[in-house]
Amino acid sequence: MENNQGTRSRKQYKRRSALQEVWRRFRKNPGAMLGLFMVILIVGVAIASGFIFDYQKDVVAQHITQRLKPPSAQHWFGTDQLGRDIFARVLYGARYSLSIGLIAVCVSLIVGVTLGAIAGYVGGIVENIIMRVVDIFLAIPSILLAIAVVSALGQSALNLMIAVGLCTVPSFAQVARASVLTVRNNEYVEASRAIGATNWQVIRSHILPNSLSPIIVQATLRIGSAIISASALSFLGLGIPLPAPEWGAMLSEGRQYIRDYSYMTLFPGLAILLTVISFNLIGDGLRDAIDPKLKR
Amino acid sequence: MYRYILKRLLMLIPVIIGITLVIYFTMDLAPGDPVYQIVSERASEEEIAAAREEYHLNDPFLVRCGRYLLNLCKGDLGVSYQSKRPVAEIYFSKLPATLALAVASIVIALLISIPLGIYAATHQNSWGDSTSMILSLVGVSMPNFWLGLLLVLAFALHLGWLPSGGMNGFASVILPALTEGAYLAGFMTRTTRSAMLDTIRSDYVFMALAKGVSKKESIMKHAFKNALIPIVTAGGVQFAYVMGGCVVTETVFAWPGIGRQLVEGINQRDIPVVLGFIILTAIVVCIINLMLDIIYAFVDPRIKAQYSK
Repeated sequence: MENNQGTRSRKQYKRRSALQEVWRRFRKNPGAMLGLFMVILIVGVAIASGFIFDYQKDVVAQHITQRLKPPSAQHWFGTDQLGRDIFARVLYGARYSLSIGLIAVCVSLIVGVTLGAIAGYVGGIVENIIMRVVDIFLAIPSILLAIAVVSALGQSALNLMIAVGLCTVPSFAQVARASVLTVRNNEYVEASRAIGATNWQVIRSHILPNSLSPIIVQATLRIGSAIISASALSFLGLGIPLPAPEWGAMLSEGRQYIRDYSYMTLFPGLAILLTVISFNLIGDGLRDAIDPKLKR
Repeated sequence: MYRYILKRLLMLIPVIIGITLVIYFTMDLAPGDPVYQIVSERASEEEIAAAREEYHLNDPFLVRCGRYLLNLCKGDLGVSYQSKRPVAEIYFSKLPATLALAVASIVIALLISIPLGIYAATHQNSWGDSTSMILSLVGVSMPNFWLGLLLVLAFALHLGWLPSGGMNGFASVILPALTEGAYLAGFMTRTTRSAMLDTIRSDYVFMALAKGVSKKESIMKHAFKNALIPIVTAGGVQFAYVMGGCVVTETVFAWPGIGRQLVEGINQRDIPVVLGFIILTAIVVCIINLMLDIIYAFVDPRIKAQYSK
């Protein structure tokens, strides 16, 4: 009898790693799980679209006889002013928006976190210099900075990523510095220094792993805003050059036909909204799962 | 307190110099010879040389940048390549329209978000709370250029209630302000809810309730008043977003502000206009943020006490 109880209590208080605990709390959040499901679906669509559609034939080739057809069984989302199938373009466009959002955030994450970690760990004049530069970048409205970068470097997917990524670097640097500052004076960091670890070893093995949570949350939330910024630049004619099926550019083209062919603007906009909502749901869910105290 | 204001004003100087350096350097990376934005491609060698001399295009980067900074101090941001008008004059002729739009969008955002946030906090975990959180999530996730197009389609083209663009009276500001304010409304609803949840659980609110104050009064007089500081702070921080977002909104609604002029400047490769507009907007944002900080310092006795020592 006692043995059984002992087994049960051992099962009940099974030890979980921090990651398992975060995943358990994340799983309990229906909004976050919906976001995760939608992101997996969108990523799946982006990958599959490369196999389903022929880029030249189905996505960019013009079919003038098929122009401005409303949604039908043949063209689910209708066709645009050049007879291109909007369904194929929206699905293929996921590749551009996702890759721009993800790569821009990854690059700015690496640069921003490195700068923030150095500033937070080293302190003194180095911190002052880094954070004053960050302040300067934060003072410039991000879309204006992105416009300056794209108009200087020219229109291309790479330049769009640089522009959007550059705007996100300061916020990562700020978050990373703040979380490094809270971690750097802990006993285990001092113990590591006491046994002779180098600064780089301390940052890599102790400081970064223990200050990652807010950075991960920030990164997830930033993907959505990076996608919106990239689409906004394309909408203004500063993004990926036509005829690439970027969602913002598609909206810009559809704008001229909005009175009679509103479906041309409906579907790309909906695609942006759903993608951004999905990432924001994951971000909110991660924030609540990592730090339940923040849950409201 | 005055020392604090002076300190903040002095801190603005390196930020403005930094902003100018960053934007000037970025714009200097633009490929192609800027002289062809001033003279035609068929211009003679003499004309090209004269234009280079007049616009100091032969000088090294640091000399040009230093001169630009000095001229900026005098309020001179050069002359537009296209219209030949001073950039500062063009900017300040467009700024009132953009500020009007920014203020209208902030007012709309506050009118939506504060009641919604208070309702969500006072009815936590109810259907109303969930609906307001879903609406705020949609607000922060909505691309404003798409929302603008949807509003034009519904209220201007189909219903014919409001104009689809331009700046003609009060009616014309409603759709652009809604477009611009949607993100802010979503963000502020979350902030208001979060700040209100903090305050309605505090001891002084329980004390007020225990003393027989009505629930409504305890929320509005005690909880909301104390929740205002984080709400206003968050709103102030978003001002930069509103000023930046005007570029897209003004393009959608043909609003005659700085954003639309900036996009025209980019399309015409009018570098002095692009450069000057971005720098001046960043400076305007810095000054407004500074003013908000000073107002908080006066309004919040805690901040005031901190700096009076």
